[in-house]
Amino acid sequence: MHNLRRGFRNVWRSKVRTAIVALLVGLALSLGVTMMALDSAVADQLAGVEASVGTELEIRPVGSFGGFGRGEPLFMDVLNGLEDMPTIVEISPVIVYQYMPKMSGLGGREAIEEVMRQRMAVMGIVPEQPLRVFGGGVAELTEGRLFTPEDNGSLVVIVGTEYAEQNDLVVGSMLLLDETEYEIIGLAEGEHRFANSTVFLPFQTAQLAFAMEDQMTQAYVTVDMLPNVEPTIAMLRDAIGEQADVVSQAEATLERVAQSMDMVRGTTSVGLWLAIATGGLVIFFTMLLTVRERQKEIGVLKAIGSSNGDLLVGFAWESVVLSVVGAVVGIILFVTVGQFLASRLMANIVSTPAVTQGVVTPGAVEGVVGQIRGGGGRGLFSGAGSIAGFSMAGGSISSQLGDVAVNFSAGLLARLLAVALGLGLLGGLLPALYALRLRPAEVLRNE
Amino acid sequence: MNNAIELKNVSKLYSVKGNIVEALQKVDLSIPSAVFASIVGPSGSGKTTMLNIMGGLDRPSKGEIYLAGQPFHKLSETELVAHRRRLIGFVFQSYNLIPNLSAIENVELPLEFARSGNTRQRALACLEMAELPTSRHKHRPNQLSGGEQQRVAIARALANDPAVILADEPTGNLDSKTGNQIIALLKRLTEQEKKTVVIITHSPSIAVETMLTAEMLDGTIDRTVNRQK
Ligand SMILES: Nc1ncnc2c1ncn2[C@@H]1O[C@H](COP(=O)(O)OP(=O)(O)OP(=O)(O)O)[C@@H](O)[C@H]1O
Ligand SMILES: [Mg+2]
Repeated sequence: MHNLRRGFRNVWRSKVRTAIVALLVGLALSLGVTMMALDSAVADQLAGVEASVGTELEIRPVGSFGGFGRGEPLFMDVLNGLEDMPTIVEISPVIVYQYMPKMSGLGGREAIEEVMRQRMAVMGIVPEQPLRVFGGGVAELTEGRLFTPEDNGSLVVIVGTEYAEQNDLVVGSMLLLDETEYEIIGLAEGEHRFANSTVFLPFQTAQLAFAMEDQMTQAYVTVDMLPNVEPTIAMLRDAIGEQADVVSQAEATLERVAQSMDMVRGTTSVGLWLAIATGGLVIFFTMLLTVRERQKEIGVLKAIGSSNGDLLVGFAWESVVLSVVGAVVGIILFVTVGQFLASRLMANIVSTPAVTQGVVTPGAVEGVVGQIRGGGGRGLFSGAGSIAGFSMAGGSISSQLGDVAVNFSAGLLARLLAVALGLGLLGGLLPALYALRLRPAEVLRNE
Repeated sequence: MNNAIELKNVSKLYSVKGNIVEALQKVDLSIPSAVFASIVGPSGSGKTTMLNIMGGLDRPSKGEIYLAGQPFHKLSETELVAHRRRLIGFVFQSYNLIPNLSAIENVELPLEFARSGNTRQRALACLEMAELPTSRHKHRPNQLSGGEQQRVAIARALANDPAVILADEPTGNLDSKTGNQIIALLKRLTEQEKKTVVIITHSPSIAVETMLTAEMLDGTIDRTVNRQK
């Protein structure tokens, strides 16, 4: 205890020197914290991106970009045996269909408007699975009930709220689709307008309705955890071979983001180690100087009964206090200057082409959706499907990257103090050991 | 063993760049308990070397040292530290107080190293023994005169109630009046506290104040003068 108190007081024996050392160590550590802050900001970003991309894969017809049943037909038997793969949690085949009512004989403006209102995106969903919406996301039931296994093959539908409103539909009313009447058992709402104009059918009902027995347009595969996504893709490709494509929703995007983030993290960790090393050297040389200056005093302390342990504790503590004082200066420098620097840096990193390339902004997605909705008759969904195919995940990546804040947090403070403690102990170690080796008779001789 | 200090056949060799300096050559010396003793001799004759070896600050190249019966030549470094702390108090020519500690804190230091309780109380008692005025207790060393600093140093040497006090030219930096006061103080410690005090001095007038004087020459004890009745 007394050793600690003396060690603490010794720090202030040369105030000017301590101030200079604290400033130097503080500069180094504030740089270090900046690097740590950047690194954790990047880690957060990466986690956000990974979470938004999720663990979902798609099995699609060969050559399709994912969409309205384009490309080769995809048969259900592609899925045979896949459930047995240990990393796969669920396989959800879907049927995605763009339904256009036939124009009535009259023609003219009113007839076109009628068609526009009644056209719909149809999703065939396996009962008890989420109401997936084409282009990403799921719709949630707002009224009525969900599909049960008994509904499979029956003439029932769940209708998006916006579609229901436009066509004056409620739960219990009937929906006409290719001259067949379906009973509306529920209404559902999703995150975007596209979801709200979707009509959901039980999977088998959809197969019957669009003459797609034993077929699907694609299947979603949920993998148990993110690290297993890559290996599962490889296994699926192995199992399925030429029959279908296996794609991860934003595989390429994720990779590109991850790569540039990794690069940033590499740089920050080099910066961090440089900062730590600089701080450590400053502490080391200061303590070495201190010990050399106090050689005689160390001899006296030994002569009057200080054990090596007492000396070591005193010097280690002195060194730690010095380093923590540096850390406090570092915090002040970081909060006043470093934080803004880091935020600016992070903003630059985020807007580099490597990160934004291939990422569709939410605005763009909205635009595409809008275009799909209002695009008129000619080639209504042509091409749009491919954009929407990787749009949702991409959109959220970009929005994640948009608002980067590099802040000082409790975690950062803890890490900084740990670093300061380590620096103090390590930087003070050799000088303290040097002090222990001093022989009192020798150092006391130079009177 | 009623000798406080006993050196038997003690030699100390230094080798500097191949040259061997024999700082002590087969020295024998016995100092009884509660005796005020002095070591005199020309510069370089080995006085400091002998005192340091007595006090366990240095080790002999050969020979045996017994301090209060403890065979210092046989002890490990840790044992030596522990015994030194308990048995010996050191006083130096240039006082060697810790500059950023007050007088009383300097005296508490050896008590803290010995992990004894009530350090403040014991330190006060020691400062009183060393006759430092109470008004000076909170002063830093650089706020004290040389004589006052040496009193603090003596109080510090007394802190753990050692049997032996070793002082290398304790009056070397003081004027003769102050020096005499310090010598009188040390003398009282032998008489009243039954301490064994060994000082090195260049002053013949101080040497005659002591009961036993070892005169050194070229690393040997040339003569011992015993003034005990
Ligand atoms: N560490 C050392 N290395 C080499 N020689 C040494 C060392 N310490 C002491 N000596 C030599 O040992 C001899 C005795 O030295 P010591 O300091 O004991 O003399 P002293 O009698 O105390 O002299 P003074 O009165 O000047 O203090 C001297 O010749 C000195 O040069
Ligand atoms: Mg000497």
